[in-house]
Amino acid sequence: MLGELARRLSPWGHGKFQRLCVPAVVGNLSPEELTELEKHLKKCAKCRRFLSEAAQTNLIAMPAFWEKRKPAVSMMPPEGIRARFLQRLNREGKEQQEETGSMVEWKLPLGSRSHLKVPPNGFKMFLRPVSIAAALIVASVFGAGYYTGSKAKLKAVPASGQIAATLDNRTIQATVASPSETKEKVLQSVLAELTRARTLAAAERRALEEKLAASDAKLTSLRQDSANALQQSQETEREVKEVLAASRKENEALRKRIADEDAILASQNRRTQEFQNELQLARVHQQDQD
Amino acid sequence: MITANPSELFDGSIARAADEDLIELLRGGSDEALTVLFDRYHRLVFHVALRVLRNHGYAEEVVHNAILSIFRAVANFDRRKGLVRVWLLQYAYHRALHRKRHLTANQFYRWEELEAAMEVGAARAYLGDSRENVRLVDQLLQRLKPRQRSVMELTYYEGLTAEEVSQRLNESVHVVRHDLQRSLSILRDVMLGATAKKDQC
Repeated sequence: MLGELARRLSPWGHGKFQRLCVPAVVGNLSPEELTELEKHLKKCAKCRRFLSEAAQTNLIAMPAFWEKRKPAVSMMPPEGIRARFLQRLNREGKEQQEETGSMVEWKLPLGSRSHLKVPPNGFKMFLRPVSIAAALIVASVFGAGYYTGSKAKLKAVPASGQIAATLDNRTIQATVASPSETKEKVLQSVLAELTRARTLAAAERRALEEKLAASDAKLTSLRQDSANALQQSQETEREVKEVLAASRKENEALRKRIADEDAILASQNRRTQEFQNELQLARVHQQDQD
Repeated sequence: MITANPSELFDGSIARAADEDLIELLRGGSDEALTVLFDRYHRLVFHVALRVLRNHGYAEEVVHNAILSIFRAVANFDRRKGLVRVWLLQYAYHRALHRKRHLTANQFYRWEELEAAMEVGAARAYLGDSRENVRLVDQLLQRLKPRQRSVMELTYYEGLTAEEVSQRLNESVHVVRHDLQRSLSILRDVMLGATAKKDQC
């Protein structure tokens, strides 16, 4: 008991690490602090449990806080987020279908007890691709195929662009093989799917247009930047030339001044020499008189 | 196939459906219900993710994952316990925090035990009854001191770090962390009390 108390009070005990758990779960710890906590967690089940509880409480508190107060949502998502979401949905659906050849298996519960089947870190599965679009295409094609009895022939529709072709083939098959009353149903289902395909194509077109517009904007911006850079470069070159010219002028003036100073110095040297000579002569004369 | 704009194909009544009804429609195979949920909640999810991540690209990724995850969960949704809005907030917050840690680690650090423990906690949180949780948080708010409430609000609504909260409130980082810990501890006690009461019943 004393040991436990000492460990709690000690800066190296559980208390210190448990104090790090709450900032850790709200994303407020530095990498160094997280690493320190990680080292302790490797050997301490008690603190692991404490951290789990803190994470659980935090995850319950935050949304419930929001739900309670409903603060204003002021930040606008980027342009085209919806189109990109639909694109991703369709793309990942196709990939998933190519990988598994089957429909998506939805595993995560939403507010349900069956979530217990998910492993502790099973939430990574959330990020696996979802093949909603592919599943829906397959489902719709199978649904229509039910009327014609040609279900076995229609195993997959790999791309949205091929929907129309697939439907055309099926229409022909239906026209040839089915009695007239089922033909109408088939044609109705084909029409419905064509409407869906047209809507998808419109969405893809819109997304491409957005992409094109973004690309154009980027190109214009780059051109502008390039023109600005060129202009700046020309201005800089002109400034450098001006500075060089001024510098040359100054150099010449300095050289001239140095030459003038040299001339003055030479003249003074000459005069000094003359005075020295005269002085020497005067001394000689004086000695002669003495 | 997901339609680009449900209003082009439908009379608009689906757009007014309750969240839980949309989940039922999704379960029944109505793909348009997903786009309605996207339109309804993508701003909210983006807001929460951006507060944590402070990057538009990463926040958008969280939005996509959150809405996609509804599909995965729809088969087991229990409308008596779950509020879709709360679940989405929970999921967005959880993924944003996870992404933030991943970015902080920058392929240099590995916190496996820490991540595992947090995922266990998150899994338990997802199991909770969101209506009951909102009620428990209401109890918590009544028990918090004004400063503790401010710390919680700045952390959750504004997505501020402890340092930023301390500057905003003119308190030390130590005090801010303590207040946050104390508040969550009170909530935990409230939750445990509620669970014990349920067990007794």
